[in-house]
Amino acid sequence: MAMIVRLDRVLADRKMALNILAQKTGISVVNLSNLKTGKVRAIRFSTLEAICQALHCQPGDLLEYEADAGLSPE
Amino acid sequence: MSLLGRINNPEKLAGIIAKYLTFLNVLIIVLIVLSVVSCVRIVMGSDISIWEPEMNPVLSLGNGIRYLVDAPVVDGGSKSLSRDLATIVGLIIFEVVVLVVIRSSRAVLRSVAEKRPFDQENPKRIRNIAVVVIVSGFLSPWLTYFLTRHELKLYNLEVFSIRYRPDGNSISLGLLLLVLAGVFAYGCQLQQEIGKTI
Repeated sequence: MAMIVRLDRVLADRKMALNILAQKTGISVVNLSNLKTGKVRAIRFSTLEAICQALHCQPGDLLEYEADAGLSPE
Repeated sequence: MSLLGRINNPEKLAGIIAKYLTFLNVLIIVLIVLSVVSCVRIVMGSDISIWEPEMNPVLSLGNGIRYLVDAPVVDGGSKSLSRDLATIVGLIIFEVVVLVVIRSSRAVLRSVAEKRPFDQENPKRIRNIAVVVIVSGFLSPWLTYFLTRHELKLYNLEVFSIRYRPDGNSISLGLLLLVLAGVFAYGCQLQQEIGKTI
């Protein structure tokens, strides 16, 4: 997938465990784990907002775009 | 709750219809058993009224007295026997088809009653019902045509003619169900998307 979630990196930078983030955002640990491992297909703005608020970061810190191999920019 | 209230609440309505279908399911199973018993009885020899002069009393299962007469003595002979057998076998096939439709419909309605209408199995179930309805739209009139033609030949009534015409209503309903299965498949896809969104 072209979109990569860098939640693990941001959590490591903030030295925060996933269950603490779950408590702060109200999102279940299972869902956060799925997000961290890239198992989700989409993310709501409200979810993104809650994570950014808890981690004091920007959406750009959490998401990264990586072009798929074999796909041209056109 | 009034009928209008039930219609406005699809989960409740689906639950009621599913219960009704459970009753029908049992009824069809009983009918299949009875048809199979009739089939066996036809093979053994056709029953006639007790006042028939050619009656031939015999003891049958359960020590009950049954009056059996060889099929050729009564009417049409082996032709009549094969006709009766064809009718019963046709009936059994029809009942099995109805049973499949009832069971699939009940499963769909139960999923609706349990508030999960976009169950992954539902498009397949609806498609199966559609295929059965379309096929029966062709097959059922053909069976009627075949048996009626057979009867006309048997009683030398060939001056009457009968035409095979597929059942347009069943075919239209089946096609509509196929479209509905497609809609449900799309709904399942959306449901899956929602499930993978956090």
